Amino acid sequence: MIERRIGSGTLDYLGALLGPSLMQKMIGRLVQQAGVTPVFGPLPAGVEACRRVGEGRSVFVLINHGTQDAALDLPDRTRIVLGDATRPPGQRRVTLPPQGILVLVRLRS
Amino acid sequence: MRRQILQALAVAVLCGGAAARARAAAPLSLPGQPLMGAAWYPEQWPEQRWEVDLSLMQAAGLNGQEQYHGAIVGPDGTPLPIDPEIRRTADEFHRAAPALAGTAPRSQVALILTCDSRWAIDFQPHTVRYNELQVLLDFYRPLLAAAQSVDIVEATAPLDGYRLVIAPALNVLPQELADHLLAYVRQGGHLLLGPRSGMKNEEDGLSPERQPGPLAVPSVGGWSSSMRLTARFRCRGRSERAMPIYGPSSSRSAMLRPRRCCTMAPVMDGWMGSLR
Repeated sequence: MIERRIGSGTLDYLGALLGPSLMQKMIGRLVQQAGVTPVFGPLPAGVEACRRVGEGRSVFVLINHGTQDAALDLPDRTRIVLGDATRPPGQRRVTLPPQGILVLVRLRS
Repeated sequence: MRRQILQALAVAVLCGGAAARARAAAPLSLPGQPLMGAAWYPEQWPEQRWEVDLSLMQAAGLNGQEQYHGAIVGPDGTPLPIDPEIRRTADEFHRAAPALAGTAPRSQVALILTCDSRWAIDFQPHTVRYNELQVLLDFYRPLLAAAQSVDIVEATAPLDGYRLVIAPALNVLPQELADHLLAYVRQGGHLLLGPRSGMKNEEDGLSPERQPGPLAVPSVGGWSSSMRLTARFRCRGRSERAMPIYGPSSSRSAMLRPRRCCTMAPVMDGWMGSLR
């Protein structure tokens, strides 16, 4: 793998097909270098998050593809618009059942 | 299944006005057409696809081509078990619509592809073990795990909004596309080209420059200051433990210095050639 600085950016060339563990390391390194952050935050295995962005707000659609309940913490300033989980008052943690979905809205300050 | 319904309904909602009119006009005696996700080839799609699809939401075609496929109401005229699930999905869409209105997915990461590159490798995969989709997925899976949202876009798409762009196999790299990618990198982007990238021109001819073809030349100030070998990997099938090969601090790094003045560019030598 070769890396080259051009302008204020970076151009890499990977000259090999990598196996899963090495690919994961390589991607992890790239993601860190490029400052990529997960769009939702920590998620349990089997839960997919999609972020949609509009004027003044982000919308998250979460789907539990797994076969077990998934516990996850909602980010600050989020409101549940729709879904198969309810948030106990004053808590961030919700439990999403298998095949459950959540639609969250987070207003941007 | 639920996801398929969501997709079908999303399109149905978008086409709502026209579709509703069409449903009123479309006779049920049309040849049976699949309701969702069941037209395997574009040749099977009727010209006005959603009009026909929506007509079949009412009942299975008794004498249609697809007698069992995609109907909500059975041949006896009563709702099939899918009916309540579709109702629920429609209800959820209705309730989520105000929140979703005017929003679009936004990712920090993109995988870029071109049909030309896909076809070029299809013509010459070199080995039956090279599977283009698998190569894409090998990059996609860990990327999705790290970023949780990955766009897969045409390489010519605007890339400014992405922090990281990965081209798993951009085999065909014409000058125009190289300029587009270079503009992205210059303004601060991070681009990774995967194996077999930058080898061919738009005519599927081998580029006389080594990889990455037209992206190998545009250096100002030569190779030495700007190029370095940073990751040390061994190939698939061998040990995957990271292993130093060359590095900026090693005596072999002298090999990375230009062997000719960069004003002689275009050099007939890409990155890989310079490493020998």
